[in-house]
Amino acid sequence: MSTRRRNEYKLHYFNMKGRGELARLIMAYAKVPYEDIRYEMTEWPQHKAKMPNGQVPVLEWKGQFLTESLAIARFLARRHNLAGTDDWQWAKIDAVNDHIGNTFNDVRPVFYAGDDQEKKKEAIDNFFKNSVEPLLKSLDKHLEDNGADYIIGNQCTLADLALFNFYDFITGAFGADRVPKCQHVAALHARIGQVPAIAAWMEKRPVTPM
Amino acid sequence: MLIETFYRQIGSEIVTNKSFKFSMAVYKLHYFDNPRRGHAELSRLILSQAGVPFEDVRFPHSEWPNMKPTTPFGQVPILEVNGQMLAQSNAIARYLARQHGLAGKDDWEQAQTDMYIENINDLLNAVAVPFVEKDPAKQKEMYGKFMTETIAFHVVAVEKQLKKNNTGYLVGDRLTAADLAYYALFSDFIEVKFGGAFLKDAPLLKSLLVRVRTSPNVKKWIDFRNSKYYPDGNE
Repeated sequence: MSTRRRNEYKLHYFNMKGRGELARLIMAYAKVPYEDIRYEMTEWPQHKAKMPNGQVPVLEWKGQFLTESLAIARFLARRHNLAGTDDWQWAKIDAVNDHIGNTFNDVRPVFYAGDDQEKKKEAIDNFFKNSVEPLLKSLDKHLEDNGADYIIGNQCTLADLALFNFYDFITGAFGADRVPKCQHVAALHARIGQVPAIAAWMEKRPVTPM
Repeated sequence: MLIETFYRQIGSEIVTNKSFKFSMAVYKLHYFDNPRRGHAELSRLILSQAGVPFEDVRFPHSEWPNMKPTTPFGQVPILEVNGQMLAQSNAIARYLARQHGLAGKDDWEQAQTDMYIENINDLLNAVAVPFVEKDPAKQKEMYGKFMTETIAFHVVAVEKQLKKNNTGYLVGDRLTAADLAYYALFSDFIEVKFGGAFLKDAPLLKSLLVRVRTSPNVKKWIDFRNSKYYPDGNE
């Protein structure tokens, strides 16, 4: 492999999964080498000013910076064959990815509850009842209507990796027992987890709480 | 005749421009009748700037229970194209931008257009919190923080990007959906609600907003929609 091809991308993020993990999963699945830069919280202040928005994740490509986790995910998906076969399909994949992203945002009240255990429990219950369950149920139906293998079309796309990432997050953060039982969603998660490139990444990636 | 209905809907002749593409696709954009801009407005701006006719469906909330199960994720806006449905306001906006020449000229520009739409989405999520706050004193405090911290910080960052790009536009050398998204939040919402003081140290952003607002097709849309949907003045 030529050194030019190596590390076409650098991903700047914290040492966690969070909003960086979807990009990492895409690059793992597509077998794209990249520099996985992880900032510890203590060193972050020195690097913050370098980022266009003062935020991460940032994708560095050919010396240019792209911010916003979903813009990064879409850019990588388009470049690495995870964007479906035509523009309408890509739009639908985009919509699923956005929907999952919005549901991710709904978890924030859980963190705002802090140490207040009762408030936290209520926030978690709300999150699962009002956000997670409707999302997984509707994606389960999408999968069923599409012949069960992929959410959109006939091959793995950004939508499937986004669902995998979300499922992985809630299982890790709240426990597998909390996750609503949705047959096709669970099967998709298992199947993607067994793709060699993904299994290898899950094995190799740093273990972090989130 | 169907085409006539569309022309009447947008209340004016189509102003053709270089990016106009006559599309055989028939667009129906579905959204509530209230809010009158909300999550549908960016797509309306994109379609208008591109000179593309569309059916601007605004339905009363009473119809929503019947409509909801027919949508992919139980939400609007929905773009209906030749009988198929697309959900998620930003996925719709991105699709329309790509179809009609408003998503940059190459893949990196498309990613940047994307990035700016995401920025706006983040700011919308941030302002949603005070927007729904019931306690007036608390709401005032939250809005204050939103302006002096969140918006102030972002305006500095985007002014820097505008300076770096040096074309007067956010992406590349012409108007894209990114500029329209900034107009939709900063002019249609923030300037209306909080005034324009926050732009005093951001001349490039300020002139971009004016450039968007006075761009012929956008201006036609704004004038039409304001007279039709805000007869008592903007809200």
